[in-house]
Amino acid sequence: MITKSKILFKFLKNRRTVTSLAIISTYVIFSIIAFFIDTSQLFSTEFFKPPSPKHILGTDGLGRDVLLILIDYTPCTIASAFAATLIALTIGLIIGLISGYYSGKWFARLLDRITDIILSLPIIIVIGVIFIEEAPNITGFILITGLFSWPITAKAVRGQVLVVREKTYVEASKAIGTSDKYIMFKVILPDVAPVAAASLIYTAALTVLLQAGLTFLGFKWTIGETEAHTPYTFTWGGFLGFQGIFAATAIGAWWVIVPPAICLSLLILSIGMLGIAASETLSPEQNRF
Amino acid sequence: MGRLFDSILIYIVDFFLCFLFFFYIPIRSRGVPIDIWYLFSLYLRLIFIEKFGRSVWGYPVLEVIKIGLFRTILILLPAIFFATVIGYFLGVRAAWKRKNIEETFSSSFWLLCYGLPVFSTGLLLIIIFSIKLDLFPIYGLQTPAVAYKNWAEYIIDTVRHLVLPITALTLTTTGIFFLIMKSSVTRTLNENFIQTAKAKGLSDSQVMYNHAARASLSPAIDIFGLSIVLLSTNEILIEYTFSIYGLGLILYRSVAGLEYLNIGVAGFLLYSAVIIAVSFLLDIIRSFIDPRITTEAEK
Repeated sequence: MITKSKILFKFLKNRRTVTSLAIISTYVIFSIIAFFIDTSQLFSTEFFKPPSPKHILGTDGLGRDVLLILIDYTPCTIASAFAATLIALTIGLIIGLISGYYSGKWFARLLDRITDIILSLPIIIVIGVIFIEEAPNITGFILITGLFSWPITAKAVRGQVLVVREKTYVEASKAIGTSDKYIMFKVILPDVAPVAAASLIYTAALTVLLQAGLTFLGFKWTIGETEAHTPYTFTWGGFLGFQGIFAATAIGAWWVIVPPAICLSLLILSIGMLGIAASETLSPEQNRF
Repeated sequence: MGRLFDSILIYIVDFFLCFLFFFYIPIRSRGVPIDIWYLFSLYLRLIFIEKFGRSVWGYPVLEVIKIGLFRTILILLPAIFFATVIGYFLGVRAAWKRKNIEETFSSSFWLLCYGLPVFSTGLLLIIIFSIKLDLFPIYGLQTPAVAYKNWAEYIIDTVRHLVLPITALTLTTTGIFFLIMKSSVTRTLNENFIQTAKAKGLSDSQVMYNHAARASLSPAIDIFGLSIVLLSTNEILIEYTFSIYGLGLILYRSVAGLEYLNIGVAGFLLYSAVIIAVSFLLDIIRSFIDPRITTEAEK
């Protein structure tokens, strides 16, 4: 008899889980430290100074210490990345389940077509328009990126549901008169969860890329009353997309670009690795990665 | 046949979404009090009567869009080609030798490349190869204000401009393909026919490429169809980073207010047509590789 605690223990023992939890907990510690940093004190006249003992990661175009800025932007970044990925995962899971289970019915076909339509858009431009015109704030930032990156999960889940639907135990539960809702969420969902978890690495990559890319392209959120005058996004993507990034490139200031990029990459990989570890734990016979 | 009908249906919906995103929302948000139906009639007029009009610099939009698509393909096709080749072979190898130190290193490297935002890869490449080493140009597709003596010079100049954007896109895309191929092959290696192939005494490379890799191509193409969205987003960002006036940059400039809206409309319609055509082609290729898929669809 496998208990829940045993599964959890096996999940925690996985090499990938340990690595990604280590990265994520570092980021959480960063976000706690971030509340004690006074950003108004960071500005100085030492523009684009390379790494030195005084500034471990150098300074950016406004004379701020890159390491402190990175730490200061951590909470916004990881909160928006996790929230958007969670939204995408949930919507993708539900839509994939429905469209796979009722495959052939008109509304399942409709859901499939909606998925295809979203996949056919130049997503980053479209969400840029919606974000900047409708909701240029952090809620919009999270919601819009989440709402446009579920198709990957939905398609992966749908494919697996089509396979699982034909299994005998699903037939059996249908035969004894179980409701469709129960079959979907109690019988099929456990078999489909590993696929959804494994697709997390693509979904996380998409949401984080969209969030970073939006700010890089200049679609930034505005704060409070000073609308349209102080467009800034307090995320690592926003740090990469600040106005002087091309000046930094021309100077050759790699220390402004490398740290946030590596941090974003590790964020994507830690979310994805958690998904892969969960998938390995839930279905050991299908070693996915 | 059903797939073709669906593609056309999706394109028709995209036609209306284009009106919404690239016509209605931008005009409304600038505070123009205008009736949506009147606006829609203007939209239809723009497309069918005026043939999209002219761009900011006075060129016919259709010409600009055509050149833009050509430039986009010029970056995208080589990147996809290199990424497919590298990702395919390295992914299969990585799945085959799982606990090897060399493979762990290669896996970590490609995973990091996969995670890096593509524009930061591009900027780093610019810093290393253009600013420090002064090997390649920074932006664009041609050196501005240069009179070429012959065709060879023109081509060499273009290729030199293309190296960095293609490298940046290839690094990220190889990460995607590597990931897909590795997970796909790992799943196949547990199957019985791999044991049979090994027991027959075939060499490692024969089992690897002739049996394992071929059997895992179909699920790989399946996931690749999904990651097109990642690829196209990366491509738009690369065009912006290197200032290459392709489809993505055209769309961006229209949205950001640097171009008229009509060029964005035309770019969007062309862009979604290309993506729909590509996924349609992928479906056909997949049904050639794995005949089971057509029967499943017919059922």
